Amino acid sequence: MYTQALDVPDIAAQQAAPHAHGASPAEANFLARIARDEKIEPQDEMPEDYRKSLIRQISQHAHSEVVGMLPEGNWITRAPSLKRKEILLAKVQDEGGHGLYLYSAAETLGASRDDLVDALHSGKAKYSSIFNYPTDSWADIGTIGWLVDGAAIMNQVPLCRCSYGPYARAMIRVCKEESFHQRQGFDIVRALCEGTAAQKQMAQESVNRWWWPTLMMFGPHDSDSEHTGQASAWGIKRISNDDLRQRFVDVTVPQAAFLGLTLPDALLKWNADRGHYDFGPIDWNEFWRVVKGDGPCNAERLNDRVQAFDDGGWVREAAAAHADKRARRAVSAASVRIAA
Amino acid sequence: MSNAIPETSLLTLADTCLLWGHRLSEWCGHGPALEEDIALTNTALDVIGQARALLQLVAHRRTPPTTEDALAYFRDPHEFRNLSLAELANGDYAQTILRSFLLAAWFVPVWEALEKGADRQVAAIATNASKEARMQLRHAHDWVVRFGDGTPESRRRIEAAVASLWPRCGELLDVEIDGTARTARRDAWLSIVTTTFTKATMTMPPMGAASTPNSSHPDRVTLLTEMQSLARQHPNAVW
Repeated sequence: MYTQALDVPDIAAQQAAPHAHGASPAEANFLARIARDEKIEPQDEMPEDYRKSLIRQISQHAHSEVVGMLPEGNWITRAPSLKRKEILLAKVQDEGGHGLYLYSAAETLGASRDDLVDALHSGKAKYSSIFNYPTDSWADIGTIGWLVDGAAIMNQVPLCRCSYGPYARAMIRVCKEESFHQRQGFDIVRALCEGTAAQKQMAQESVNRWWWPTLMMFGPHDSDSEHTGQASAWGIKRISNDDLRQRFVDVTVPQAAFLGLTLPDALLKWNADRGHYDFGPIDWNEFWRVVKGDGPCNAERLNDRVQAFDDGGWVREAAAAHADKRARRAVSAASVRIAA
Repeated sequence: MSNAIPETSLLTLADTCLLWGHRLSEWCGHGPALEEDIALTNTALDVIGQARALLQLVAHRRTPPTTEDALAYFRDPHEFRNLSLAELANGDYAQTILRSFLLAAWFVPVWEALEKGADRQVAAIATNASKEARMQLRHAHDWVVRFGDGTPESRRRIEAAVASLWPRCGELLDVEIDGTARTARRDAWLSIVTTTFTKATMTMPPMGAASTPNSSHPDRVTLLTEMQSLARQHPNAVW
């Protein structure tokens, strides 16, 4: 899943960002390629800031996928039917797969996966704040698929056309799988809404909790998202935060009506003049609080990741030691053959 | 159907797959490396899929027919017929992998026998399952070898896992599964395990008499309490 944290201002990167008017011939050539909508490939010349910015964005995206396995993984063991259990397990596995493609895409830029994971574990790197909310009920599994993955798709589809080839190609596959995730989430919520009164109440209560955090996933308003300008110039970001958020609201409101659910916003109303739904103000204090580490589950999520990594240290060491032994034995066997 | 494998055998297979898959699913998101997380989840998906196919068959053959979910979520712990190895808490990664290895080594000859059997509905499930079991066996075998022939720490852990799980293996060899020959199954299992232990530079402990699992099955009860909790809170719900 995609991350609003990508649009959180990064002061160091901002200060280092290049400006087209003072560009060197190499940079001018690069910007001309972007303007022609050409894909930049790993072996191509690229400005250092473009490379760094992509590593930051792709790795945050990868971290989001991997941390995103935790809230939904919480319900695998309690899924209420075998079919739902199997689907959820496959879905969470997909998120791990997305993490793997994305770490690989970041590696094409010269980053090391170990360093990227270290940055996550030390708290230096961000991941999507949406995963710092708890999954209190089974309905949350449906709501995450329907709303959170729905928002992720809005964010990710434009990335399939982003300027960096490996990232764009990874996103094509990711988007196909996210589309399945979104439909399975909607199907869980649909079943709840068509079920008993208790099930429907479970769905409504879940949507009430997830609606606003989902809208926050698109990041700060365009006027407050200085990073967006540079990412647009580099052909990484194609559509602004506010435009994506509006698209999401416009698509989702009729889906909620179809399900018979209400969205927790008294100001949500169709505006015929704009041809869009108007919606109420987002609580940016909450957004920043969670981004800065003070959300309901920030500590738990990071702790779970660090513990899994630390607990697995001996496994990775054993694999490396065994591979080493095998390599040494192969060399020694080859020497014996040569000597013979 | 005169050739039908009796329900007791089908439930032993189905319940073993279901509880083993459930235990593996507990690792999802917590594996020692992303690649392993994905691989372990593959095994979980395979065996839960096998459990579903078998439970659907059992449910269909009952009079009156029932459902896979009724069998999975509304039987009590004492009604489950799984091999006790499958229900045990995961322990560390060495124990998880060793359990998968021991079970996959058991399932490969079981599925291969059932694949050729006269119960064609079971054979259809076994044909697919035997391919999956061979893949699971290869994955688990590779890790047992890495742990046995890796670092002193991995060696210590895999030996501890052997000490902990070995007493449960007698049950694997003694259990009757209709449509399979117990002696052939036993020989095949011992041959696979001996080969892997040799590659892992480990000594296979002697095979003692099957230990009697704790009849109250505490790990099975814990597992099912969690697995069945939501479904039992809403017994009339459709999900």
